[in-house]
Amino acid sequence: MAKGVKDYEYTKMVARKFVQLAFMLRFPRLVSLGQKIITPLMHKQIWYNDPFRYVWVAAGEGRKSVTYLKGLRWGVEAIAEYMKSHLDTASNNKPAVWVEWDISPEVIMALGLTPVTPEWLVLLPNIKRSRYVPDILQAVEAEGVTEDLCSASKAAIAAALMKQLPRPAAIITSTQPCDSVQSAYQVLAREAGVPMFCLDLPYHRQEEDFLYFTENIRHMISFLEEKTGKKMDYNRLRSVLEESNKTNHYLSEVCEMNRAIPCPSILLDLLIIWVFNVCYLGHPKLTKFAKYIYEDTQKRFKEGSPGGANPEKIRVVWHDVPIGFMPVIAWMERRFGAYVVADMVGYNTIPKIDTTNKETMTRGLATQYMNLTMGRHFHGTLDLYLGEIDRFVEEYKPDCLIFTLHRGCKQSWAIRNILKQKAKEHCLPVLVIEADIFDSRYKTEQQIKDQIEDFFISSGLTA
Amino acid sequence: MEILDLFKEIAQTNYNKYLEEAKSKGTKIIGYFCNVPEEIIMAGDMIPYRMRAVESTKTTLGDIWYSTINCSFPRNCLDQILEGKFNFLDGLVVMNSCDQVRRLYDNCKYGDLWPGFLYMLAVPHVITPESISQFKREINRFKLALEEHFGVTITQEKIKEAISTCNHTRRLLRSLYELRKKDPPPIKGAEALAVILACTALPKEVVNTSLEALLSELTGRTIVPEGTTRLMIAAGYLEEIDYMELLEKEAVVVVDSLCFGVRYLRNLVDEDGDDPTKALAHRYTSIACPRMVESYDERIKIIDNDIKEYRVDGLIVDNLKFCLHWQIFRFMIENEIEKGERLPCPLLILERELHCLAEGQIKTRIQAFIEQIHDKKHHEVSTAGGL
Repeated sequence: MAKGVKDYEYTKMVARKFVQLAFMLRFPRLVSLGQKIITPLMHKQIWYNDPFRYVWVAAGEGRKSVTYLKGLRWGVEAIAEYMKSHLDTASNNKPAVWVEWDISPEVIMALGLTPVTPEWLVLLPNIKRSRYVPDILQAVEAEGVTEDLCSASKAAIAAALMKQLPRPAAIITSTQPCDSVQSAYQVLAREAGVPMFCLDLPYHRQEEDFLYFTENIRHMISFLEEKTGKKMDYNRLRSVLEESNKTNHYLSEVCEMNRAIPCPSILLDLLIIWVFNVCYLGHPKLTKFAKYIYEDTQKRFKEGSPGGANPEKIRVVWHDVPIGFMPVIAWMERRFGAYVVADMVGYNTIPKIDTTNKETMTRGLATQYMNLTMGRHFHGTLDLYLGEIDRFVEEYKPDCLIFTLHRGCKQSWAIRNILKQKAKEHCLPVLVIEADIFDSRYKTEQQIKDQIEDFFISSGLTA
Repeated sequence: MEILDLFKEIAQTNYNKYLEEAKSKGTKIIGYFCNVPEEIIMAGDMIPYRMRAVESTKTTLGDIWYSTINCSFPRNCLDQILEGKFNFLDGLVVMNSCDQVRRLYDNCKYGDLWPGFLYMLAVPHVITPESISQFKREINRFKLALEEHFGVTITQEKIKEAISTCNHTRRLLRSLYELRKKDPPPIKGAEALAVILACTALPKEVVNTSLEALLSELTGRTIVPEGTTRLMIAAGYLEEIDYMELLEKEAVVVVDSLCFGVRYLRNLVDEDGDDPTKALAHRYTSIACPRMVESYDERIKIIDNDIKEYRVDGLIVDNLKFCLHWQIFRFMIENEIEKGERLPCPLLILERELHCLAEGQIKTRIQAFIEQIHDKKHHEVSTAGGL
């Protein structure tokens, strides 16, 4: 499929780009200066700036502190290692495990296996060129995969069909967050021809449901041990989980501080590390990155200054932020002083895992998986999702709500009226954006910006 | 046939005289979706009624809550609910069969659209000893909810009795399907669909008596000439009798893989054990439905087997637009055929929206498909004859 795409072509390309970026970030002052110089050329998405624009946005558009850039370096290095590990695994026939993006990879890392999140193909290629993701999705649709599927699931299938992933020894998936993931992994298992284990997330959240899911985790570990011949070293699992505990702690502290007025961070920080965590949560370099974000935010929190360069004028709670359109977040802050103070993806509410013993760690993993982004929103009872919106409104004092109805997320489309009613209940202006959060074929960055601009103006938020 | 006309009449309306009669005697009627164990409802002396949208002609009200890129089954259902067409129901039980049906519960609950008993039954997506136990717990929660709300007592004996009654229905339906193996079959696909639609909208004692009468009346019945092209249809939700009739203009559907079809009658509940709830949990998670993870091979095995047993000439895979489970099933089966891994018989892929019959288009596609089947048969005869 996808004429002209060679095996591991995207993998190598993304790995190279992250390695280059990690090298550049060894000189944060220089990067900061360089960014300031090129900033006038970057605001609008134009063909000539496309290869550099995501890096420019991710690195804070020349307005982030050198401290932040130092932290970003660790995150970028982690992902460079992650991508290189895929290539290394492929060329040396090492055991890899494909793991669905709504299941964090600590168990696989602790077993000494290479974790491969097939959805990386929708999360990372933007770093090189924004056109890659729509091209990949179009190619997989041309193979007969329905366009109704979530673009992340389409990308996962594309990654397998285009041979961008090292051959797995096993696959780990789950029933969260949606039918799209569940269906797509049937294709992945068939394509890879290896055994798959599916974690069956319970719908309810009562004690017996936790026990059921904890049992699922135990079986997953046994399954991995059996299929890969590796034995779980619980001391190693402890050290990986302690890293993810630290990462989650720093990020949840950032989310707590974001309640302050003005909001001391900008959402981009949380989104970028979320993308990295999907791939490699538990890696010590991501803990370092999280610590830098935390310290950077804490500094501004104490100073009472906003996370961006502009004063805060509008506070936004945004559910299902279009991750593939990160420049929009920076633009909102730059253009309107609009800060996304809480969102579904970046908001970290993962409870600390008790690493005392095997039992507490297994139970902790079960709790963590049930609280991951999307899983806690889309899999179980809607109380969890609506409750989060209520909490955000109460604690983060937004001026408005934005909901993105992601094209592939059919269950979000199925509750759009409930979401609007929720906004009405809180007497807040609401914007519902119909888009694909990764795929610019449905709505472009400019169209999303236009819609937000019209909304801010017509709601009187810019006055 | 009078009995078939009766089944057809019941299948094409939401409410029927038997329900009305039961209702007048104070019997409660509980609407349910998909794989909710109807035996539990029956054990509470209530009538289980499988949700449908057979009278639906639009989705205007449903679209206020759903969107036009959602599956048309829950949209039509919700529309009918909002139209008051299901006011005769005393309760509604939704299950997490798929994300979009699951949201019907959420819309009813949070949009305050359903005034009576409303329940979400969570069914696991995998089959393991733990998931069976988990589902058993869910069934017990459901049982308790029914008991509390309706003031009924659901005993193990009553559950066993309901299991026996429902198994009898399934056995009678199996006998009906056995008759469809004949050439020519004594019943058309559209008629069989009507029978099962009716069976899930009637008190079970009426169902079983009527099925017994039907089976005896079908003996010796001829509806199509011998050698008529024999089709199989594999689909998720299909309730449109007129659609099935259209598929059968030049052929006959002899077997299916439908919710209102083989999936309803295939698995029996174990009656021998001393734990009927566990037996129910086992039966309802064993249904080879795309919502169950890793059920693809099982589904294909059943289809392959039925193609042989029912001597099927052509397979139609039909999915509702925006139904991800069936869209992926379609992709997988097409892919396998393309790779030459599977070629049971000619395959036709159709996609539709509930109650939006594009008659002209379907007719043309079916005609072309039948021609393809005839060509293949002709080629096989020629090859066998050494031409």
